[in-house]
Amino acid sequence: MKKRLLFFVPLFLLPWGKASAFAFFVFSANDLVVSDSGIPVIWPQQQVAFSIGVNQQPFKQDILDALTAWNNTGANIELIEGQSGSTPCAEGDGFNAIGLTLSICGNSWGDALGLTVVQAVIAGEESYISEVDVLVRSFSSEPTNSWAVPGDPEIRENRSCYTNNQGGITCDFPRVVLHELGHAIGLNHPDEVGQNVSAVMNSGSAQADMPRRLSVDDIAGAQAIYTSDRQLVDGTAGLAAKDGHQSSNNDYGGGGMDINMLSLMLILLLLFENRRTRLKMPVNT
Amino acid sequence: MNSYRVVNSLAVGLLVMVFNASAWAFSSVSRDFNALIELADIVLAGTVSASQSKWRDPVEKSFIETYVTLSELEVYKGQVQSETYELRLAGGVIPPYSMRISGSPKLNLSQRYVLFIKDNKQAIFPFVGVHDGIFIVQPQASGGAIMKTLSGDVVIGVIDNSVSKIPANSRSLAENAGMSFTAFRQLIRQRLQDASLDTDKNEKVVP
Repeated sequence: MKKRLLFFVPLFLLPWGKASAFAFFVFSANDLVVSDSGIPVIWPQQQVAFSIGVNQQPFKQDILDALTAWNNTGANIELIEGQSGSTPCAEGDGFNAIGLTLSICGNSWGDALGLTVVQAVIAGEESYISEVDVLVRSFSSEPTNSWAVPGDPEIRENRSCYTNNQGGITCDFPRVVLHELGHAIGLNHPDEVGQNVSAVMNSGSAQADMPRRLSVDDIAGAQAIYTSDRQLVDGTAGLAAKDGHQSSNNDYGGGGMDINMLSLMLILLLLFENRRTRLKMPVNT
Repeated sequence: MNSYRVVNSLAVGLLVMVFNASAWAFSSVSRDFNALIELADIVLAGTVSASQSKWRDPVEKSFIETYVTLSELEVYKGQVQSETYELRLAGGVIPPYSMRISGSPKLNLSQRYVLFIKDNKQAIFPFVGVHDGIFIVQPQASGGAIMKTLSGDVVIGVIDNSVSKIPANSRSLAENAGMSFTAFRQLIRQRLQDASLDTDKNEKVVP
């Protein structure tokens, strides 16, 4: 009986005690979806290599810096530069790639700046990331639009994009890469599950005023999903005192409390079963 | 009943099933209200009457697109020749396949929206500022409708070209604080008229 309880008690206790909020990929109904509770879909290995199909500076260095930033979170994951040769649109080739592209595999970018394709393998209780391709928009065919250069005053004011003097937009390449690499390790948009936090991982305009560095919530997210053991994670644990946060329930299924309640019910069920067994014992003997 | 056995059986059953899944996630440019007006090819209010996902290439089956039909159109900018308008968005579900793009805008059936559309059927998401160019027209029990952002925040006005909004669950949200659809529509028309006047002024300056 103790063994059974030991199995479920950690599920019941682990979601509490964290101080930040974040979201990540989970497997639900045969799909990868965004959630703030459950078992995160992450890389099975500690070291992940990316083919970086960008040689121009400062972009190459920005990508390397973004890899380093995620490596410095203290999470049990290391992103490194690997062999070159794969292109980001070659989905399903088994290579992880980062590249600048003029289009998204046949579509124009519109107002999108970066895109990450995460592929996962789900085998029973195990689910893990198998390949990631990161595409970042190339502005080389659009003379009025550009990526900001280092030291750009507008970027120093923490703006992700601004209207430049040619009437186009200038955007912050390092921040976009930092954001997309967050997806590459399995994190997702906290604002998409009703969280109101400061994070590079927020979607769209929700991250527009963020500095080009990882926030406390981003770092906590990486640490939480890459602990030494794969476990249930609750990305809303630190949100109770924060304004604007709703219940973790969302369109993608139950929130953290639902899973906690399930664990509690299972414990009670096993306790009841155990008590019933003990009550029966004298009769049987 | 032996619950341990049941749990074990479920676990073993799950172990037998193997799936491959993929998800997309993206980041985008943020646009202010004037940019929404100026950059859009088409600005309209419409109700989603149909939605269908299709393979871009039915043979290759590697990329899913969703075609969304809008009806009951009210066009503020641009030309729409028919009574309905079809949008193309990347991603979708064709059971048992799916291509979900995390953070992508989703338009719900029967919901009415005000949309700032650009590069439809070319761009991965044909909205100015992606999420910024989509507003929900939310009917009120008391009659009329208020405007919400795609994330559900209530629009309370447009100040200095910035859309002011407050979370729908905010305690500070007074009843009827949301900007009405009528006022929002009027604002769009006013800004379009202003932009048109500005263009006229510029044209006069050019010799």
